[in-house]
Amino acid sequence: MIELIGGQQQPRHGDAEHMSKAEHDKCLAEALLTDGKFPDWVITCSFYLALHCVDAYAHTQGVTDFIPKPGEKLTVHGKRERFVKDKLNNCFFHYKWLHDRSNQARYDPLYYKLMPAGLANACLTDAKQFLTII
Amino acid sequence: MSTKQTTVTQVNLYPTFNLLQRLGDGVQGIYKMLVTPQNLLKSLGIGLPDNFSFAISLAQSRLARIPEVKDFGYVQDNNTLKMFAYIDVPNEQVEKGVYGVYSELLDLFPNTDVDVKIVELYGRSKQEMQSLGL
Repeated sequence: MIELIGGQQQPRHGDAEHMSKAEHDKCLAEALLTDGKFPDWVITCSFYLALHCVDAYAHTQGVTDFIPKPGEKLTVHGKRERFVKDKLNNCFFHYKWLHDRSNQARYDPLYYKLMPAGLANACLTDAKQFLTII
Repeated sequence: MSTKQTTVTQVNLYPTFNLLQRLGDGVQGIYKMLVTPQNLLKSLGIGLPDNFSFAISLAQSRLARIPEVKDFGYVQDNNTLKMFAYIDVPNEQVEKGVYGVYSELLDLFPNTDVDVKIVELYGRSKQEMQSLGL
């Protein structure tokens, strides 16, 4: 992920690559939503679509990663959520909601059977709004 | 004569009005400082990097005001505190309330890994969900 350019470490990816990945995740989420069998993975793809939009925006602001610095007690996800709260406050509720839904969709074995029919679609609709942040 | 009296009155009242306004602002400032713990801590310049018990108490008392939050739980280690707000089914207003509490905690603990997650129960118990390691 990191290469030496002119003696300095520079990431090979930037905002364009993150936006491209976000579009990729959107396409998968749409395909899964159409299929109808995997609402849990629609939610998970939707969260990662939002995450890559946030990372793309962070690059435009000079933030190239959320890896904790030595001595920092925050996790990568924790740092990213704080960034969303500070820099994209209007998106904070949506981002956190997608994160929690995605978490439960992956770890709760009954979630995909219990969730309301419209939840996956709601998550994808919410996540698509992140495509407009940069 | 009457014009001169009016002028004198205006000149004399202005400092009094100004003083009262300042006094009012001061009282309001002290009130705000004392009423909300995060403002008090900010005003005193106190950080609570490792005091999870305060975060737990604050979150628990805030979440107790939201009737749709059926239960509350947390897990912690030396660096991380994860709290869980258990709700039965998705509800946007409730979710906004819970994430408002999370947002408050992020302000209060800027360098500490605190999290508040929403878990949807769909009739299940908190104990059932805890074993999933969300």
